[in-house]
Amino acid sequence: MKNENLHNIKSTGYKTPDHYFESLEDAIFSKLAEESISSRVHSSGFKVPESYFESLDAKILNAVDENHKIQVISLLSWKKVAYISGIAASLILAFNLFFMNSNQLAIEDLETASIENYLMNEDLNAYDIAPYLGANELNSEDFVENTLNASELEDYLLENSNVEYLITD
Amino acid sequence: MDFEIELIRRLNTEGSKEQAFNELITKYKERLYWHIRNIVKSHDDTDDVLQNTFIKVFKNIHNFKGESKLYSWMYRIATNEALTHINQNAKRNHLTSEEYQQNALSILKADVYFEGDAIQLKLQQAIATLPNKQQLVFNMKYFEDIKYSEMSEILETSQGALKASYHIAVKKIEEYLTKD
Repeated sequence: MKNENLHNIKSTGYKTPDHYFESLEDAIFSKLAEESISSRVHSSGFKVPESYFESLDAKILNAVDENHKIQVISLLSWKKVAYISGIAASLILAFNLFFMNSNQLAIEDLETASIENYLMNEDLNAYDIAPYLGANELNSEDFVENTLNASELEDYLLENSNVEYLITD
Repeated sequence: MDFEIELIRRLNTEGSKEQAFNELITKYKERLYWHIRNIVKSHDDTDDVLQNTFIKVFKNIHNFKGESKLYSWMYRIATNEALTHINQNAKRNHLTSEEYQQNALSILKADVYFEGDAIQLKLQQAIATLPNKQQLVFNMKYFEDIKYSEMSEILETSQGALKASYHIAVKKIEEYLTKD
């Protein structure tokens, strides 16, 4: 029984990596090129200073130590420095504003554009502004200057309103 | 592999960290040195990059999750550090990284830590003509004798792509060395 089985085994059971034979030519040509290079050049030519590797361990451990120490003893961290200088700067600024500012700003010194920007950004509504407008400053044409012609109006109505609804109602 | 797992455990334990780190340096210093040297060329720059690499390893060992081998993880850090070093130096000198590498080669002749042989210089020049990735692959295979399976983990590239890169690189270099 065992012997019969033995006769029936047709494969060795050995396998090759995927795409082994497809890339074999490349591999062989690479080897040949490699040999051609190494027959000309024997080493990269790079050298190291004498006993560099012997002293390297200690050097790296030292560097790591220093790196550690610098982190541990940093009482004045960058963050703290930033906070302190921030506080100092705002104190100086406040001092300058309140005590050193002798020349007062007048409304005439401001550019119209700056005032406009201020009004735009302050999110004021019509009621906030209304009290400052006198009746004589207002003109009925301020409100009706936008005239519409017939075709624009028609387009608007066609696009924006439900005409059928208007008819059936 | 068992050695590696044990080393990682000791590196993450407060009492044994220093000792384990010392062993790690002793075991990998020369391999990583040559890996970096092949990228940055000068000894002094290599020394800087190597130390930074080990400092990074020391600081980040607790983040090492073991998806890859410790060895490939350290190689990856070293590769990144070396490439960053080149790019930073190039930027500082307002050069592209290719121009910077050409510059590094032109001063190699005068470098006391380079043997100065004309043919060795020519080989380095040939390598410098390759795109960055091919340079890496060529150096790692030809000089450092790193297996494709390991290189694949380090450079996070498939073995097939690495073999193709190497094949192109070795051909180009052979051509460069045999011309004129």
